[in-house]
Amino acid sequence: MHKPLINKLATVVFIHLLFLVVLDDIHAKILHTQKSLYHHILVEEKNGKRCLKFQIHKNLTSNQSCIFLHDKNQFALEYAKLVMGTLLLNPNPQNVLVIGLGAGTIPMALNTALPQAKVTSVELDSAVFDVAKKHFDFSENENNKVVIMDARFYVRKLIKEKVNDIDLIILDAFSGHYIPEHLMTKQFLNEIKRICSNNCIVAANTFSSSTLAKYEAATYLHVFNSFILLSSQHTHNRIIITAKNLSLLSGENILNNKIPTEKMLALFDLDFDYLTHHFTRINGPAIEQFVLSDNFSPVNLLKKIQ
Amino acid sequence: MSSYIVGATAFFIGFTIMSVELICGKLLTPYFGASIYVWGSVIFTFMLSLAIGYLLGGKISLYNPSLIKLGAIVFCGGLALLPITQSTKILDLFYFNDPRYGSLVMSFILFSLPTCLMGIVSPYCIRLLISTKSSVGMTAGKLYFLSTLGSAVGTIGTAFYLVLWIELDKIILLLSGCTLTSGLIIVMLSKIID
Repeated sequence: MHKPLINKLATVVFIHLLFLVVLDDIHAKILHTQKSLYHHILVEEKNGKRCLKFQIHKNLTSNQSCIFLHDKNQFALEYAKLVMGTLLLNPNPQNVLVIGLGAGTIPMALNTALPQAKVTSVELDSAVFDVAKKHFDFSENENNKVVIMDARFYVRKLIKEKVNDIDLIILDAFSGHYIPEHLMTKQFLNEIKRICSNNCIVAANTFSSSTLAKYEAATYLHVFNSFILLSSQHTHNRIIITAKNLSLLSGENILNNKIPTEKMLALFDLDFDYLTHHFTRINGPAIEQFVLSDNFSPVNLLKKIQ
Repeated sequence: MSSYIVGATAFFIGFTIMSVELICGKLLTPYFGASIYVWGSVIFTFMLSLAIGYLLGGKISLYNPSLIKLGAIVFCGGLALLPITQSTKILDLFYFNDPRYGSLVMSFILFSLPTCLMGIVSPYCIRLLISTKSSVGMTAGKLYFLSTLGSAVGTIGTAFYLVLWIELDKIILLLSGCTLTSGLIIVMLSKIID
């Protein structure tokens, strides 16, 4: 009896949804597209945000970095905000290494919050660097430099130069699909450890979905023995935070840094309670069969296995 | 019988060459990055080594070609693959400021000899199968078909499955073992046929 009415309602809802989808696409403004050596780069403006994306195929893109158009100093992606939470473990890093530039939002934020710190970003694709400068107001200065090089090669170069004074390392390299395989292995993490100072914090932006997550966790445990997970509420992002000196991960250290970091965290709309509420400590021995190595790191294949 | 052995050899060597090429790219990545020049170096090394191998294979096939000699060439190819299993130790000995030339030099040191030896196989196989002048084109076509089919299977098999099941060093060890065994089997079979 109510069938015609239900059909009509369904049609109206369907048309409404279709309209929203079309409207959404109309609202998206493409500012820049470029096929670089490594990525199909897209700069898109939508819903008050400007985003750097890598196009995977026609209808699939992955967000690399976003900024709000009304306030370019605020992070539009939650993961980038969470990365800043690492300052709670070491509030005063002097040398910072950011692996993966994206739109440059993280290095710029670090440069603003810690003007005395030397921030070096390593980016493989020079086109990404150009886009960051042109569309995201990224600029270099004496304490904010960019090196165009493969991150693995750059870290090996630092080891060769006997550098061991990096206080904060942020691993944020993405190839479109995920983190490049050679930047996820135990050998790479050990190399990272070698360039670390005693107060060094390592933060890695990872995803919690797929089989790969347990391989990643096992690899970090194998190299660092313990880490803190800072998970996003709205996305699959999870920040793995670890340290060469594990006492930096202790509750006591975090509590001691509460007051000194208050103002700095407020810059990124973060507070102590929010961060500590989302911290999960992971300890224990690594399950050896899941440890990724240079000899075994079929990351993209493992990522497909749910 | 001998034509089957020669065909199977061409297929297997095609498989091994592409499998090794893919693994080689992965072995260099931790040292020189995943940039396009690493793959450029690997492909250049393989192409040049194969080209030299083809030339040598043609030359060697002029002097009393036989199945035993083919078996010996395949065996030597397997032997030359063995040092790649120690690539980490070899790569650790060197440091290059420029990852482009670094990857090219190391690619040459590690992979040129086995690739060159395996490159000898194809022209040698063609010579073993040729019976009349008029059938040269047909024979070469069939051999190229089998060899390239082997390469295709080796590429997809390694990239999709082998890397998921076995560590890179072990894949090279497995390929080397299979190549050595194939060489020995060819020698043994040739004696039985004789």
